[in-house]
Amino acid sequence: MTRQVEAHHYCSHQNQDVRQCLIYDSEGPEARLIGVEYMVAEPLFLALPDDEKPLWHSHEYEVKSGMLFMPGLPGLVEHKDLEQVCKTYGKTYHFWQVDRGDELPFGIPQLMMAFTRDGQLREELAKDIEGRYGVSFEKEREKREYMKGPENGIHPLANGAGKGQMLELREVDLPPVSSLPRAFI
Amino acid sequence: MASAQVDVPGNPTSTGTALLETATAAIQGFHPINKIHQHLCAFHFYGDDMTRQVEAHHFCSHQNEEMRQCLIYDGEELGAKLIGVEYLISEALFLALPDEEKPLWHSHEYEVKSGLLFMPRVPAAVQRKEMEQVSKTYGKTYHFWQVDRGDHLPLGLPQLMMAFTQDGQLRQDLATDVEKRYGVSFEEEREMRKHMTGPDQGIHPLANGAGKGQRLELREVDISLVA
Repeated sequence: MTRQVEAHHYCSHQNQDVRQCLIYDSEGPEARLIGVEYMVAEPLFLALPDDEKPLWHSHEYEVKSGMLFMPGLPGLVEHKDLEQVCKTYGKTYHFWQVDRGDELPFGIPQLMMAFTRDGQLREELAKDIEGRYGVSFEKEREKREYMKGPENGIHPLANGAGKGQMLELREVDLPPVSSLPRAFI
Repeated sequence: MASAQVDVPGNPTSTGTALLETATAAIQGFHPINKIHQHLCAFHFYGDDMTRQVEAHHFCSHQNEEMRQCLIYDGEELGAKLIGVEYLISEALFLALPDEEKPLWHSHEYEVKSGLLFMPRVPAAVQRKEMEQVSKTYGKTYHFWQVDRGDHLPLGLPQLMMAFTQDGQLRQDLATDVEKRYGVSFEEEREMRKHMTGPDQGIHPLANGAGKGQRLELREVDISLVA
């Protein structure tokens, strides 16, 4: 959790309950594609298999703390959408570890999680954003106090089920295509 | 499309959401997205199972002359699902990668010369210059949504994907389906692309999984909290 990254999401709605987002390390034309995130509404999350749930994280804290916001958008407009985001779950992978200075996307994807309470996000990262975007997380926190998280509360299996989750690469045998029986549809 | 027609669960987009998107589209900037200028159609297979093959629509932007970043969708229509990403780099950048990094990257020479990789609706003569370049590059691809097994949502772990490197690997039905839908002939393109060459130093032996299958797995670890 000590490695933390600013993530600019560019999202589209597949439908009302599913979003797919591209994550860049900044908002300029030179921005590097560092990850993806999928967001789903609570009912869809609850329907996921139990071994899938830990890979997803809740958004309630991020939204209510003010640290998740939509740059440039008037507060009232922004809040309408954030009320919904507050109840969703997200699944995020990053592939380019820009925070450790990688010039290219080295290594394997990293499963990312979101913050779930005070004291986790590094103060200097927060201050830097507040400065650049002219926002105040404190003020936003007050305005968003009325917002509610998932109707059923944050599922205990979400957010890595409370554990760290690490991906590893393993070499396996790769049988050539011709060696396997094939069924033609 | 050739991949299974999976329906994404959920309610249809509400009017409120549509209105919000009109506002955000007008007010916010989308520089990283607006840089996307190229659509490539190709095929990938799962790094640990060559029998699982997927049609992959790449939407790419150039970071610079030597590096591209691409979004991969399962189709090109409005409702297409974001199924993966690919990074393309020049041979020079690839050769400079650490040896343990090289196996995660695949070569493009066969895909290009066989005609399997192409730019939909771009006249052959126009795309040839581009294909000559791509032929010499290496790519790194991950998929997150296994539409070929009918997943309605992006379940499971990211999959390291690879590209085909010789005849006889790509399923004929997938190839024929694409040829029909785009009105292209891989045979004809192959003839036209005979003159193209791959990486100047040849395909690196460590590329393409170093000849082995590669699979990502998940391990639980103790999480070190912020001090």
